[in-house]
Amino acid sequence: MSSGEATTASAGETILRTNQLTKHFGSFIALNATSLQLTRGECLTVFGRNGAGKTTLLKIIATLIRSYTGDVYLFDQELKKAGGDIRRRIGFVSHDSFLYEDLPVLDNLIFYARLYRLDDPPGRARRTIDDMGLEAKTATPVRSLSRGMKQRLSLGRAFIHEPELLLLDEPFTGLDESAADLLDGRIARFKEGGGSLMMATHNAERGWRHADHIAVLDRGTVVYESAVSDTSFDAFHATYRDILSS
Amino acid sequence: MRHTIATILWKDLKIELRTKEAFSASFVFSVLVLVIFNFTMDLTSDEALKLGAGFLWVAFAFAGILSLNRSFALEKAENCLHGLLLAPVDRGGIFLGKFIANTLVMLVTEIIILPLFAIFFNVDIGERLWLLLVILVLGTVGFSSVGTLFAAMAVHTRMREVLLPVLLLPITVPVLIAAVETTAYALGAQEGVSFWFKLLVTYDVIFVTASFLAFEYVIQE
Repeated sequence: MSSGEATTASAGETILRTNQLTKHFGSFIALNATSLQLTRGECLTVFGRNGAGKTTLLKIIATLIRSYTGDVYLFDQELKKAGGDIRRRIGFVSHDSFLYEDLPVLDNLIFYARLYRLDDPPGRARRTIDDMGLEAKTATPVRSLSRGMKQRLSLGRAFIHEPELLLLDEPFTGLDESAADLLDGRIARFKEGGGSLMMATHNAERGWRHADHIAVLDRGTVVYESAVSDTSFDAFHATYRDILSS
Repeated sequence: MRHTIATILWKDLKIELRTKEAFSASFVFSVLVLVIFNFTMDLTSDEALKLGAGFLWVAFAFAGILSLNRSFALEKAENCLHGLLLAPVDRGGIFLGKFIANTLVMLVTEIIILPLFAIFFNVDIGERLWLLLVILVLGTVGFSSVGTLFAAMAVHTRMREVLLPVLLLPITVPVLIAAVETTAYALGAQEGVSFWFKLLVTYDVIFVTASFLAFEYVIQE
């Protein structure tokens, strides 16, 4: 959810807070004093054009980028000081699948289950395969899967360790309608189960669908933020179009 | 950390057993190098003993670079490296898993190449075979430790295939020279190489430790 006054109204537990978060790549400013918050069980959708800083924001929260200025508090821990165990509580879905193309479906999931030190990795992997409707593809190398199936498997990978916070970076990119619907359904189930989400997308309709709070990043700066309950899709969409065309 | 090492090792070896890409590329390259040296130089048996160790390590070094490049290329595809870095595991464990996998793949190639080398150059490798195998392990460990670190550095760049040898070869010159000198001793071409043995072991200890410690900083964006 957003920063400042809007967040103080929420009674829920804040699980993520960024304060004056700034990241430079050389002379390029990817994030400029970005302050955002996310409450447990809610979804914050961050919109913005390509290069607006959305992916950098998610990568910092996912601990993939460690050099930045400002503060990030995740699950009440200062991210720079947090140990590696905090990553067990985070799931990450990106347009990259993070899957090994030469390994079969089952072995990919067993690998990630082992990496997260889950009990009974083969059993957990098989349950995930069933959950994603990929039973017939267990022994198929990932290279031979269709884009939609790969995305399903990638979702299974992201959910296999049952994270509390799911970070989604342009998750609908390249998906056909049925795969996008499956992703929608899985996100809805995750939220119903009390999970928190932060999604970065430029797709206004899909992004809005799950959002409790929205923010728009432009050139690394938060230029718009609101609770979904305080606005309408049409009003937001008109504002978003204006920002994109500016 | 042992669990992380075993998991990475399991994954890398499983991929290699399925594809055999690193092995086949480095094996073919090594054989080619030996064949070319064998046919372009008409060596006497004494000369073969003296120069053979050098030819052997030229083949191993360049074949090793092919295999190291492949090791991180598969992490770059579909951004699997991020998948590893997102896991709640020690990054040192990731390094050790990759390093051991790379070392094993290189050693398998080298052990298969060794009898071919003996045939091509008419060299007796049986007399001090165990010593030769120990030298192979020591030389490969040193080369592969720095190679794994630099392959991880190069993977973020556009010209990683070119960058890896440019970075790796200058810093592995000491271990390659030591490996050549000690291999020449094992083949019976040279005496008094205790300095080179010490250098091999010292290089391994220093560079395995340094690469392990530096990996976390190198792998970070």
